[in-house]
Amino acid sequence: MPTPTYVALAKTVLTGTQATVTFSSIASTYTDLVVLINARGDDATDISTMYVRINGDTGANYSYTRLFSFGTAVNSDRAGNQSNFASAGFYNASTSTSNTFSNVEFYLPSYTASIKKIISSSSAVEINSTSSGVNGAGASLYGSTTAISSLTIVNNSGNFVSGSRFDLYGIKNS
Amino acid sequence: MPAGATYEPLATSTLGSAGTITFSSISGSYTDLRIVLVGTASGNTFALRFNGDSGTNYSYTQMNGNGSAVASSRVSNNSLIYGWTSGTTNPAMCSFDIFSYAGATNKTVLVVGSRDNVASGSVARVVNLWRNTAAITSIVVSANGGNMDSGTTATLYGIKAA
Repeated sequence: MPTPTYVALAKTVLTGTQATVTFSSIASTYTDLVVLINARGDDATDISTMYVRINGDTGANYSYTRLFSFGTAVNSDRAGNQSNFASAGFYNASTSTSNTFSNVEFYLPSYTASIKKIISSSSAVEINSTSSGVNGAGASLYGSTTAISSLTIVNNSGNFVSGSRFDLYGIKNS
Repeated sequence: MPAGATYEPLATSTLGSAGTITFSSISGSYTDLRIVLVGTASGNTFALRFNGDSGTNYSYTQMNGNGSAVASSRVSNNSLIYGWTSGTTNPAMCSFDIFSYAGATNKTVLVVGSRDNVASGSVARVVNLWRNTAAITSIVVSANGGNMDSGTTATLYGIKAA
């Protein structure tokens, strides 16, 4: 049987509300990491954001650039020297259509290499709203050359609700 | 019976000095190909060339954001698969999904470009077309046809449908 190279490393499905989800002790035996998320928030808005914190680092070591459609408009924004988080994932929260969750992907290539870490993100939010819904793309730089051994997914202003799912995969390039 | 692997690394290369990366003799036994590229190219645009075709048989449509402005553009009769702009010091990521690469239709490629440099950055989605119905058997990864920087890594994956 072929050697698996896209390997499910960890899965978290929430049974209650939770503000963060952490994958720790991530093995260094892969080349890239992928986090796939299907989530909803409890903050009092229709669209919220989540972020990635790396190795527990809360210093001002992150920057990001985003491109996103929000309803009928297309926008781009960015920030440098941010603390606590990297990149950006859009998802829906408590005032949006019920029973609806959003999808977010964070792709972290070369996560053990001695280089600064680039993170690519994609977000898909559709809530049957006349004013919102997001198709988002992001790039983020983590300014450390240390290998990534833990990832924390952080709700920016509230909690992830029960049923939110977080999957971590490792990809080998050989 | 357990399924076989459906996402397989076919080849990987890290440049020890400035150069291009070639994947040749690509098997036709997969459904799609994916290239994950991480590195720098002195700010030039990452690009692909299929089967050594340097003719004007490529075209693309792209949308991007640089942190303040958004834009969309397109080019017909290009001579390369257009990726996205690299950085100069910090690594950028560019992924290329090459659909039905062994099929008998023209080939479509989706590019996700991600670059951030603390003080600047850009994000892009690019769709390319290669107007050729031949199976893709070789790919040259470059910076707009020229060299990428030392340390740049490209990995080729094969993806099998059921």
